[in-house]
Amino acid sequence: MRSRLLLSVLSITTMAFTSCSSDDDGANLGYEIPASYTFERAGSSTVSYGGQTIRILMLDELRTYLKTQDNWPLDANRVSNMYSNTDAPFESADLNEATSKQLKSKTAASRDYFVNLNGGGSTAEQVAVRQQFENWLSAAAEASVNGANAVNAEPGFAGIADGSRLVDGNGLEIEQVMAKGLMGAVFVDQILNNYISGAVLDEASNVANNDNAVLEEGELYTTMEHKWDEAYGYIYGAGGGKYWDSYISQVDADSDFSGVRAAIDEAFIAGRAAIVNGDYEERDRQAAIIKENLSLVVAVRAVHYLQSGKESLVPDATAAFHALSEGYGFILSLRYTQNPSSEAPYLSKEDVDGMLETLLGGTNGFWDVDHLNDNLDVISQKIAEAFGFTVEAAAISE
Amino acid sequence: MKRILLFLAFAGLVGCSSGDDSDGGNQGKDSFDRQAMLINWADNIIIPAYENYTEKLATLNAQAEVFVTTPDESNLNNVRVAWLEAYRAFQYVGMYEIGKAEELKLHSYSNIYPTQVDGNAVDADGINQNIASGSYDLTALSNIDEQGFPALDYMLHGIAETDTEIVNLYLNGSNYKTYLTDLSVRLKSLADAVLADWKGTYRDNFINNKGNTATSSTNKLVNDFIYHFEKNLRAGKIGIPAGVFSGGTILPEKVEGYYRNDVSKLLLLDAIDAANDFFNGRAFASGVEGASLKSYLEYLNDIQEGNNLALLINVQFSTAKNMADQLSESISAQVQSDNSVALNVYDELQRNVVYFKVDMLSAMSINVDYVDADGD
Repeated sequence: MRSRLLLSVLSITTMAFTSCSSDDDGANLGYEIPASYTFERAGSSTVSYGGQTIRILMLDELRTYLKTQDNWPLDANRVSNMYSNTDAPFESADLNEATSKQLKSKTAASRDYFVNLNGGGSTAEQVAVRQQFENWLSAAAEASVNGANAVNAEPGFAGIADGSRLVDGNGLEIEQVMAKGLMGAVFVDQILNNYISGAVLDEASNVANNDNAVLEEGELYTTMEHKWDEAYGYIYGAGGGKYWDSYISQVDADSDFSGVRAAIDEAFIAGRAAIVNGDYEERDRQAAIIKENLSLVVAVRAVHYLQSGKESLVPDATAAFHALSEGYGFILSLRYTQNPSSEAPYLSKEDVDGMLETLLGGTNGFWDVDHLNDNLDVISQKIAEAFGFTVEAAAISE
Repeated sequence: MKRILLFLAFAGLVGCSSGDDSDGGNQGKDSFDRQAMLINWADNIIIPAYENYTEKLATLNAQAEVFVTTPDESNLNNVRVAWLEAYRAFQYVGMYEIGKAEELKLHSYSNIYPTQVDGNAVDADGINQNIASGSYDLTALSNIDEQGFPALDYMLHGIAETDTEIVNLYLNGSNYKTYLTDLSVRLKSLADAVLADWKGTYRDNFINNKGNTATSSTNKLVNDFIYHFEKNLRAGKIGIPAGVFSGGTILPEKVEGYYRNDVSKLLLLDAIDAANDFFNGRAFASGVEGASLKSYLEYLNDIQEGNNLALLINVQFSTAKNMADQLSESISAQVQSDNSVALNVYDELQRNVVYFKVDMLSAMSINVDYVDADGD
C-alpha cells in the first residue's frame, strides 16, 4: 500500500527510485501497522515530541514579532534572543521556560551533516549559516526603522513593500526567509539528517535497549522510539497544520504530486511500528521514503515560488518580492535534503549557494527584473532536474 | 550507515544488533589477543609516559623551589621552562583516566582551564583569594579550577604585567611563594600516586581484565581514549575557543596556557601525537610499535570504502596534524584573526572522532559508555 502510493508519485517523475522494495506490505511483516500515529505501552501513549512543538512555536512567535507593525522599530536584541531563546524573549511563558530549547543551536546541527560531516557539511558551514540568520535578523531590525516611519522600500533601501511587508534593500522579506530557511536548516535537517538517521537511531545501546524494551528513565518510550517521534514532531507538532505539514498538503493537492501526503504520513507510522517490532530493515525503508518525499516537497515549493514570482515581475517588481523571498528560503532548505541513495543532499551546498547568489545577483537584488527574468527559469530547471520533475508540474497547482 | 553495515559484514560481526551480550557477542570469531595489547599499553606506553611525566614534575618542583628561595628573572624563566616541559609531558598521560587516575580525577585537577583567578557569585574564592587568605585545600573539589597547569600559567605569566613586577610579587609576598610551591607539589603528588599504583598492583589487574564487558580494561580505556580525544582534545583545545559550543562566539581566553599565550598550538600538536601514538601502539621510549588498536583493526581486516580503517584513521591523523600546523602558535590569536583555520582543524579531528566512536567501536563490539544529551 505505502509503496504503491509512493510509486504513484514517482511514476509521473523520472526520479531515481531505489530505496524501498515494492512487494512488502503490512500483511507480510508479521505485525500490525496502526491506521494513525498511535503507539502505546500498557495503555499509555509512548509518543512524545514536546521539544519539537516548542521549536515550531518559537518560529511562530519570532515571525509574528517580525511582521507586526506595532512592534516596529523592532528591538534588535530581542529578535536575536528569540533565535537563541536568551533572557526570556517570548510572550509565551512556556517558550521562555523551555530554556534548553532554541532554534539557533539546532540550526545546521544534524548528526549526518554537521557532526559526522557527511553530505559536504562542516563546522565552518554551521557557524556561517547561524551567522547568516543572525545577520538577517539584524537587517530586519534595521529595516523596521523605516517601516515604523511608513517609508517605502526602494532599490538598495529597506522599507515597506507590497502592502505591509518589511523588506531589505534587496527586496528580501526577512520574515519569509527566516520561516522557510529555518524550516530547512532546523526542521528538515533535524528530521532527515538526524532523527531518522541510522547514526542517531542506532547510537550506543539504542538497538539493544529497543529490543529489550529498556525505557528511558522516567519515560514510557525507548530512546529509538523517541528519536523517531522527534522527527515526526517537526512535521506534525504544535497541533499540526503548520509549516511542513501544511506544505506537504499543498504539494499533495497538485495532481502532479498527489500521493506525497499519504506516502509521508504512512511511512512515519510504518517506521514507528517497525521500531516497536524491532524490524530495523523495514524502519530504514520507511526512512528512505520520508527522505525522498519530504525532499521532493521542498524542491516543488522552491520551483513553485520562483515561477509564481516570475509571473509578478511586471509591472511592479515589488509584487514579486513575497513569492521570491519564499522561493529563496526553500532553495536554502534544499541543502538540507537527503537523497537516501547517496546519503547527500539532492543539490550540493555549492549548487544551492550558487542559486542563492544568482537570485540576488542583479543590481539591488530582486529589483532587477531583467536579471531575474533571465535566471528564474534556469534555477527552476536546475532544481526540477535534480529531483526529476518538470518546472511546469511544480509551477501550476491544480 | 552504509559504511557501518559494510563494515560489519566484512568483520562478520553483529555487534550493533546483538542486544544484551555485553560479554562479547563476537568472541566466537574475534580471537584477537587483547591481553597482548593491554600489556603493550601498560608496559611500553602508559607507565613510561607517567615516568617521564613525574620526572618533568620533579624538575618543576625543584625549579619552583629555587625560584621561591631566590626570586629573580632568571629563576623565573627556569620555572617557566620546567612548567612547559611538564605540561607537554602531561599531554601523553591525560588520556589514561583509568584506575587511580580516574579515582583521583588526575586530568581535571591538573588541567581545567580557564583557571579561576578571582572569586565569583558561584565560588567566592579564586587564586587571588586563596593567595590572600593563605587558607585553602587543594584536594577540595571547589579548588579544582584554581590549581594545575592553568593556575601555574597564571602564577608564572599572568599575575603581573612585567617580569620585574612578577618577581617583585614573589620577593615581597610569602603567600605567593607558598601558593606556587603548593601547586607544583600538588601536581606531582597526584602523578606520583597514579604511577605508584600502576607499578604496584594495578598493572596486573589491568592486563588480566582482558574480556569484553563494559568494565574490561580494553573497553574502559578505549572509551576513555575516545572521550579524551573528543572532549579534551577536539573540543577543549580547539572547538571551544573557536566558538563551536558557544553559538559561533569565539572564546580566545579559553585556551591552554592563556597567560603565556604562545604554547596552545604546541600543546595541541603534542596531544594529537600522543593520541596517534597510542592508537598505533608506539612505545613511549623506543618508538617501536606493538599490539594496538591499529593492529586490532588490521586483524579484524575491516574494509571501509575499499580502505583499511586503521589506515583511514592514520591518514586522518596526518590531515589533522597538517591542518593544525597552519595554526598560529597562539590559538587565542588564531581565532581572533582567522577562525576558519581553527574550525577546519576542529573538523579534521572530528572526522577521527567518527571513525573511532562509530566505526572502530562497532568493529570491536565495544559499547560506547557515554552519550551526549541532544536537548530533545
